[in-house]
Amino acid sequence: MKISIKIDRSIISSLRRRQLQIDRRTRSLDLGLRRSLYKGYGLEFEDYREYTAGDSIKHIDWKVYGRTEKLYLKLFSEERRTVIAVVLDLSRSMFFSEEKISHAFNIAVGLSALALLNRDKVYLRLGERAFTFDQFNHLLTKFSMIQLEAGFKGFDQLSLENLPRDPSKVFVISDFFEELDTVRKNFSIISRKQFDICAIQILDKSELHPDFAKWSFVKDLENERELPVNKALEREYSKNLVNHIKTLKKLAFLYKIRFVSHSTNDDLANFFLKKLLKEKVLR
Amino acid sequence: MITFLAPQYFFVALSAAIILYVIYKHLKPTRSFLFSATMFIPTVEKTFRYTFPLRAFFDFLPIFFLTLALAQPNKKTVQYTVLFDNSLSTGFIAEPGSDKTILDLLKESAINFLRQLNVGMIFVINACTLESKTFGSNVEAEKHISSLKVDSCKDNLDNLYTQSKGKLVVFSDKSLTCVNCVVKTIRTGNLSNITISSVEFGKNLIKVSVRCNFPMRDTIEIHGSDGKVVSHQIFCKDKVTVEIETETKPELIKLVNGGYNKFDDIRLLKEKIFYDHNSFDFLLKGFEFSNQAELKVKNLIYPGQLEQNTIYYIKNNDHRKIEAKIIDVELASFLERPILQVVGAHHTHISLPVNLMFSKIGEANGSDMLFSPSLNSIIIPFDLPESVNVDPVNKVFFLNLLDYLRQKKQKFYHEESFPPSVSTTLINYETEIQETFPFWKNFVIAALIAALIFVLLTVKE
Repeated sequence: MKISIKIDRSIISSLRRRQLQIDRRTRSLDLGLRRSLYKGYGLEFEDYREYTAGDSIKHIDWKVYGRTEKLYLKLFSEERRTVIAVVLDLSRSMFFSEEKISHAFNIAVGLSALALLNRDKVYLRLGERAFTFDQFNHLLTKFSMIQLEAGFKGFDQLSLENLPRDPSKVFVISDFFEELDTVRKNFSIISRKQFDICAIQILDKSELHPDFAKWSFVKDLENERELPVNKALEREYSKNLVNHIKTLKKLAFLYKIRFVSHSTNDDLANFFLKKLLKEKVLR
Repeated sequence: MITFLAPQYFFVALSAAIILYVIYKHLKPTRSFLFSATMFIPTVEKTFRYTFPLRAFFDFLPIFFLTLALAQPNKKTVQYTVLFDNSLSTGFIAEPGSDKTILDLLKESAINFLRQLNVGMIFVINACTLESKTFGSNVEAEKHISSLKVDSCKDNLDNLYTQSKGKLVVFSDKSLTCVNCVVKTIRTGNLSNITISSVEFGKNLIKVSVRCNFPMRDTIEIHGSDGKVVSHQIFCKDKVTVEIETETKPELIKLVNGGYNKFDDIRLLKEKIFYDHNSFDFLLKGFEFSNQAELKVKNLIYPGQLEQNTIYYIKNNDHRKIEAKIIDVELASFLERPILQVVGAHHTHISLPVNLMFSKIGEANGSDMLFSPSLNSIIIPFDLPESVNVDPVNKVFFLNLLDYLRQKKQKFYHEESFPPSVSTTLINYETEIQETFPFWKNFVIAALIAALIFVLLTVKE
């Protein structure tokens, strides 16, 4: 199952003035614009420290010396570039419709572009394939047109434990059509690493409101299980789906994961500029 | 195979049902739709898994029901013998005030019965004439039965059972018992009846015999050709004969209170012969019975004069002229071979020698029923007018004439005109014929409803 997708450049253009909201300080060694855990030379004052032999006298706070007659050095938070990890689930269910995978991919690319525009480093995983970008142009060149191929691996096989060391923000884009135990297990794994995680659920409009009256049987995209359907099942289906989303949100709250849901009914621009702003993923 | 369905209907219905079902199935895609969120679909499969045989069964069900709904029941193709009683008693009016006779009801019943059948052959036996006709279709048989009229015979249906082929169905006004046959009986419950049993004409005198089954009073009216009406009161206990003087030529003799028999189409002949020396002028008077209490007299003038040298032999209205070599008995004496010699002529009968007559009379009549072994002679049971001069020469003519008359002579009174006083119901259909699948209509309606429900359920799915 392969689908060719084109990047929606208008989305990226609309994100130029936005920044990713990252509360966690980075441990990265690369210089950048994010506050890091490292104290040293930077623009933002962080703390004082007693002068020891060998320290540069350039950072001695003379006003403090005037009051206390002791030498103190001014410490600043060093600004480093952080790593943003974007993980896109390319399981078969994500390929339910071209629209669904297209929305998911454009969200992934949009978030990556936003991070690169913020001079962060991006770790982008598309299914089993991983890409690292540190320049915005590279991203656009690479993904101006891409052919995505579905894999059988679902959310369970996303290998979230294998993310790069200490990313400041992890975006997991999936439909989360998994057993709740699997989701719980994965949320538990990534929350243990104390990443700042944002789970973005992508749903197709036909998944939200399927017209079972048109079909006699449905076959699962992933496990190819065939089920008889009829219109009478629609209500039960919707109820189960809503319950699943509610439980996902509860689990996300439990594991301190920000959970945002997006439907292909919605416009992508709305998603970025309204929903993500409201959820304080962007600022 | 569904045995009660007619094969031709079954295959047509099956084809139609399959076409309809295929069209219906194509309206809804049967291929599975690839779906991502099957985990939220209630798992019907846990309790009810569609296996292939089960799905095939459910596919077959609407076809089956549609077939049943469209189908027609099978009709057995059998041979039927319809024994139809059109004896005199069936001319009886079924109900007082009604125009319909028992015969009419029997005809309707027989026609309705025939329309239910899909038979290969129908044999219709006329109970009076014993005439058996074969019909290839019920339409022809219906036409024949429609054309049947009351015949003035006394039925003896029991003897006719042996003539039947295939299944025997008897339509009669009598309650009959027979093995392996269906008897459809229509009777009248009207017990009282009075009827003219016989009429004799004399010179200015009419002798009317009346029979009744209950004591009753009535009036005989004789309507003359000049418009005069002569009435005569009678009291009938069982049978009464009255002589009524009338100077006019009677045209209608009737009982005022009437009987209930109706014979619109029966024309009975009672004959009187007028004779003089030179020639035979004879007048046949036709009597038309509009019912048994009414006698219309019609003059039917038959060949006014017969040539003396000719023997007329008339049979079944087929007027044939047979040239005879010797007619005159006197001339016969010049021949070696006697042709006809009349032994005696009386007012009650003509006697002829046996040895002479068999060859001629037997040939002419086709039967020897006029032969009387006790008298060793041929008896012509006919009342000659007193004025007839009994002349052997003339008897030759009489012989032939009377042969014709004998054939035409009808008794219009029959004992069976009086129904047995056991029936209390006006019309009694004793037996219903059910050759076809008895409940097919209900069955087809049920199947149609089932098919509709099934289709509706499937549409809902």
